[in-house]
Amino acid sequence: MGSNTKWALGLGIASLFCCGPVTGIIGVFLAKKDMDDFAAGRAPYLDESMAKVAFYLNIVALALFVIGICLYMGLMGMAGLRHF
Amino acid sequence: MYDRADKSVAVGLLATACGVLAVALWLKPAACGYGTHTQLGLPPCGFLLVTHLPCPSCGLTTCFAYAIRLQFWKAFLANPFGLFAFFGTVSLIPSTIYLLWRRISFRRITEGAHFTKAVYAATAFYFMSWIFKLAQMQFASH
Repeated sequence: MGSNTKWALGLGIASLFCCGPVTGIIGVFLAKKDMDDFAAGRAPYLDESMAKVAFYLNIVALALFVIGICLYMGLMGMAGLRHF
Repeated sequence: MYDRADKSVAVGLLATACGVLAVALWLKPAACGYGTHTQLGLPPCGFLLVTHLPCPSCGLTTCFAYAIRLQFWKAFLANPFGLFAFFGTVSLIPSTIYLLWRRISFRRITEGAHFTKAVYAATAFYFMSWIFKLAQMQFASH
């Protein structure tokens, strides 16, 4: 497993629990870099499956962040409509 | 080879940087150092609500709102990493214009070994900034 993938996994977990989109975006970048390096044959020693796991973990963290915001805004909007 | 996707990335980055700075100018910085983003209708920080401790991103919006008003010390106190991110966002405007003008792909920059090192350094600074915020909050409570 490449160091980029390890960092991307850690940042994805941090993104899920406390850091929000900042570490998620960095995690996506680092995991994608390892995936691209493996695909281009520049780093055949890398574990592509783990890089994919890290990539999708960060994508899920970012998606959950966006869904959370949409839900909050939707609920606030509905509460505002009820107030009228 | 410079293609349409490269141009889209550069234009997207330019638009994002301008948009972020415009929003920062429109927002009124919260005096407590965090929570400015709630003016946009966004939820308050869940980590702060649960743990009563700031998350690493707490104060980023406030920092941008102060920095765009040239109040750099207040911006630094709100979130040191935010000030770094602010200067990064400002420098993105002339950089992307230059990339568009010279038809240089953004990938050429991101694929360089130095860019990855810069990303690691920025991540380390992001977490160091969090430690600063935690210490600042601890100091303020005593």
